[in-house]
Amino acid sequence: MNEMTLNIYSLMMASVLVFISIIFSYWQNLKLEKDIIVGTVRAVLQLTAVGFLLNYIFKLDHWLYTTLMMLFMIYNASNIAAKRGRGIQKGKSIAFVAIGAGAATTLAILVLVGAIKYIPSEVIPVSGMVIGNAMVAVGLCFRQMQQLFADRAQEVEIKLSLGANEKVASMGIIRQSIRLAMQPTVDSLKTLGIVSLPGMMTGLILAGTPPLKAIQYQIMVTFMLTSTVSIATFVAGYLAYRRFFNDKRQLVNITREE
Amino acid sequence: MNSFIYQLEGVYLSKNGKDILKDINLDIPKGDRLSVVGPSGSGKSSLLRLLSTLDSASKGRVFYGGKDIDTMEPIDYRRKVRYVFQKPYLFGNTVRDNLVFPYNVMKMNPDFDRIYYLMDKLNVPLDFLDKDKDNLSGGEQQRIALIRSILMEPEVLLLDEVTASLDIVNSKLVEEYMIELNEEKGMTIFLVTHDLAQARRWGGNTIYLEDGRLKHYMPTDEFCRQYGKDLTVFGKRKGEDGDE
Repeated sequence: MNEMTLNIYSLMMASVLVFISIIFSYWQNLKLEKDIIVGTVRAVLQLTAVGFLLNYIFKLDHWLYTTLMMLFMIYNASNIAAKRGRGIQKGKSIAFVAIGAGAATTLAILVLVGAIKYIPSEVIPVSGMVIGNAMVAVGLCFRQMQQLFADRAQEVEIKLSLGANEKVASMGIIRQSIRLAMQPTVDSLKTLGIVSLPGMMTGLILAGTPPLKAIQYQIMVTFMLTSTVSIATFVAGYLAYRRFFNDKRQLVNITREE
Repeated sequence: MNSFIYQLEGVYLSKNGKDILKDINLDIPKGDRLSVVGPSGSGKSSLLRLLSTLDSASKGRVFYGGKDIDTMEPIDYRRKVRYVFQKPYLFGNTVRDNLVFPYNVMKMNPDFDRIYYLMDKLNVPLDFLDKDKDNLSGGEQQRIALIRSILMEPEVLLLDEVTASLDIVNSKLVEEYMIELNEEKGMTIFLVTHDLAQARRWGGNTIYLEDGRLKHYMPTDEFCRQYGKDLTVFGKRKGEDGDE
């Protein structure tokens, strides 16, 4: 692998790019200057902290710490995903189970087929990608569900009044929420290589990996993201719909707070 | 056997901290045919939603055939009591999707003889079965929604202004068939209406609500005789033309 040209000095010089955003925001009166500064400082601090933490865990090279790190990532992801569905009772727990199920299944398959080893340097970066994508998809699924239950409340109540149970009355909404949450991942499948060169592949190429080798990794990543997103949204959809009903099998009013 | 299909004891229904129904006490005999009337916002639709168990009483108790409604399994109850909403709403893509739904819910094979019989009875052309629901008029949609609710011959039918989107011919056709169901099958039917003439044709008893309270429960002809000239009881404004 070629030695990378990026060093601390060039990284600091690259921070000039952030000033372009700040100047643009100020010039256009977007009032985003503070958010950009806070966001940038947070990103640098978080990534630096994670860099040290990963360095430490990689050195420990123990399955327990690797697993704990993954659980920590899933926990954070579920907190963020649940914010998209604020008002859905037990949203955090549902998101945790959904993201966890998606990530665990995908990682188990990757480890079992020998695509990756269960060592921190391989499992943690891959987990980061799958958990991040599952988080976005589960958040989208929650959001869609809230919107659809509000828009199609009459349909649900008509079905309930015709003697349907909650699952039958919500089936159309569950399926549409899952489909809409999966849509960005499915769309990105179609544009890979044509429109976008994904982050992992770009990173590998920048780090000196030959493009054909980088593509192999990217294909694996694509497969695993698709699988994780499908499992996570499926689990989230089928667990979350129950939260829109009370124990008397009545549709409850969940107001979106965002 | 309890001769009352419904008994309401001190029933309140609250939404967003506001009482929509207040202290309703009512005994409805089995097989009754009822008009539910009152000014707009008097709680007519809320009463039907309560009886359909889409909403629950915040205070008081509702008994169905002597059983506390809260102790009944909602799905079993709703299969006996059907609610037809004021605004017609068809789901799925076609008329068929709507008319086979009650059978699918009961895990039964659709009885197309009965579906065709009811379509014919309520003036819905038989070739509408595979018609796109979006290509139907409001009146056609409402008649299909009504068929969807009576396919399984419920014990109680809750009709919320179901004839509002129908022309006079179809409105009378629906009324006549509902009266037939009431008289021949003993179905208890509630009809929310704003139409004095319709209430007269409907007969039976009248429930009059005002500001969420039950003001009268009496035979419809007597109610019309006493209050028929005051159109505000039918949700009309003073000076607005009545239906007669």
